[in-house]
Amino acid sequence: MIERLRKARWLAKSGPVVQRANRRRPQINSSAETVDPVAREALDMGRARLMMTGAVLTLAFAVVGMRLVDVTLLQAAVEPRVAYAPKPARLQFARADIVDRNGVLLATSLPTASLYANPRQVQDADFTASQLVTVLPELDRARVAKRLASKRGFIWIKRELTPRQHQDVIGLGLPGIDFRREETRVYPQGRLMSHVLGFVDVDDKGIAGVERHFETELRDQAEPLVLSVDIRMQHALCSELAAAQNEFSAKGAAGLILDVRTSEVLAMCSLPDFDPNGPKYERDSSRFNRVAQGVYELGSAFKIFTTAMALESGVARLDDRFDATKPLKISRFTIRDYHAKSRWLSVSEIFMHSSNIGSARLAMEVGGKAQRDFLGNIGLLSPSEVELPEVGAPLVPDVWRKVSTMTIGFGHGIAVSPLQMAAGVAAMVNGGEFRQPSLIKRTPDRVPDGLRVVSERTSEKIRKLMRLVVEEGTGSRADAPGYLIGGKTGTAEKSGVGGYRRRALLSSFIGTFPTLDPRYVVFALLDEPKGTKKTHGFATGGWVAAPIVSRVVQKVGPIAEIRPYESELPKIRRDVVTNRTLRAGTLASY
Amino acid sequence: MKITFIAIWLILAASAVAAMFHITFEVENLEARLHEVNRNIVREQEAIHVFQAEWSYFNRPSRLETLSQELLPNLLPVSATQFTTFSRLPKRDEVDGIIERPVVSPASFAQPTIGPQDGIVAGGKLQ
Repeated sequence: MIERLRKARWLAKSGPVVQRANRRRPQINSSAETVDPVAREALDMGRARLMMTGAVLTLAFAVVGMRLVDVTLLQAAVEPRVAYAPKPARLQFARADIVDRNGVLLATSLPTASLYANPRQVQDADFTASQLVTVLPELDRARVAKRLASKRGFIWIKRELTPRQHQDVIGLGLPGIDFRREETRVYPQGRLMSHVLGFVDVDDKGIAGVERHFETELRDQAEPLVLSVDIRMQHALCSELAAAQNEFSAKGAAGLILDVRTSEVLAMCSLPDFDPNGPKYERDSSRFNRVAQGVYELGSAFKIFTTAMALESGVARLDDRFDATKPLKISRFTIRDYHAKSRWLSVSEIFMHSSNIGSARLAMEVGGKAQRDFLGNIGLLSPSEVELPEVGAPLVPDVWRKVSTMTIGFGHGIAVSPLQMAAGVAAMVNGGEFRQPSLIKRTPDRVPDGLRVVSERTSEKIRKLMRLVVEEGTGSRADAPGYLIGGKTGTAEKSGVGGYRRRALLSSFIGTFPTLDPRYVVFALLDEPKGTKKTHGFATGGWVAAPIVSRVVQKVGPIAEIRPYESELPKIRRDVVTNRTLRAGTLASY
Repeated sequence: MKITFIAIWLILAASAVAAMFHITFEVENLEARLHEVNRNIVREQEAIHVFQAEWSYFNRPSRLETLSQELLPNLLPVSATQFTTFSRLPKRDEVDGIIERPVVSPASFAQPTIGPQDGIVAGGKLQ
């Protein structure tokens, strides 16, 4: 009974498999040595499959591993880690600053907000427009509403808001309205440098002046552009010119201070001027730069050149005499002196009396070709190379006739810009070397070599003659104690329809100081000044322009650290004035 | 033996993980601070830039001239006659009396004795 039970349990436990196995493979329970070939085959197949799986997996892991090495180690060399190492912050503006020679800021870019809208996100165009007009009253409500109702994705509403407007628009909380950070060009000195700096348009692109000439440099470089201008001298010049323009009700005024040694422009002022910060769309005559762009028949100041070329070429010496007894007739022109001496004059006297007849005769002695070459050498026959887009081309006779030679001898029949004139005079007084004027600061090692146009000796004679004009002659009102100004007046009638207009004058004075060792050339010009009671109705260069130069020099002298001379000392008088030239009688204007 | 070995490795791994996380968070914090500092630097630079423009605006020669005329009426532009050379200065015994010179000491800087009401004498002449 128990035996049967045990067997039944065993059977139940092992089940039919054992029975089947027992049935099919009775030898299975035999020893290992006697393995059934069928089982061996099955085992081998299993092992092979395992090997295959293992190999595939190994290969897969190897690929993953290689890729891992590739990604982590090798690719890093090619592609820098995205993990950033923040660089030290640096403020960058799209346009470099402009500073004067002492580093005073003249033009800079300031961040501002500009208002734009995405019309697709604007819910109620009319409401939005009416709200915007409440804080920006200069906007046209109907136009803004129409643009806001369009299907575009971006429209400008107003560029360059003031901080106040910016805050007000934020306060409205309108959807679809946003700001973009922009840069505004700001000119802290206002009108003072308007013609030199020029200005930029709303997209910060230079439109005029230095801003335009140095457009690429200002965009590319980070360091500020250093001009040759000294803001203090600029102010001295501009304020004196403005006062004189006001006093003599002149249409305009122009002035210039030039370093005679380097030809750097230290001040350049043209009136009327404009505010470069102001509205940019107006196109008016105040944009006109009378110093570099305007060309004028400057009159008697040209006698400096005529005298210099006569002395230099050796056709005349200071005490050679020329016939100025009666007006000079040439073809249909008559050249006369306004305050005729009606006698023979020495070269010095011609210069002091500003004799047109004498200068015409001197020019004839020099000859047309030599005159043209000389004027060409000092840059009077081609546009100035100063760094401004507004540069006027001189008006020069096409055919250099005999009459041209004579009239150019006293500054008529040729029109040059004050800048060209000043650069030419600088070459006459600095020892005889001409350099093109520049608005960029020239360090001593970067001053270009000058072109020798007259000798040191001629230059010295010209300086003395110029001093004489101030001491004894037409330029006496240009004198400033201690600074030994030398100069030459120039008064020209403006040409109009059918000849010259007697009442419309261009009165100028070109001076240099200190005459013994000139440092600066100062030029002042008034356009159509009217004489006043104080000037006894005269509006000539000696009456209206010379005092400007005197006052400018008195202000500029201490700034330039020029030690005043004690001009009454006999030695200095002897140095400046030659005995022979002191023989002049009363001297007339012109 | 084997368990100790595994335990050591586990502790090492755990501390490495902990250290790594610590450093990662530290770096993130530092980077956030660096960013903030950099942002502040830019903001300050921008402010300085604006101040420079403002400084230039307030130092316009015309404004300074007006202010000087209003507030310093006795201070006049230097004229050429105010310059002289040492050789032309009078010698001490040529000047009547002895010029009292204040003793310059640090204390005299601390207590200014010249107030604005005293006025300033223009020119370089001895008065």
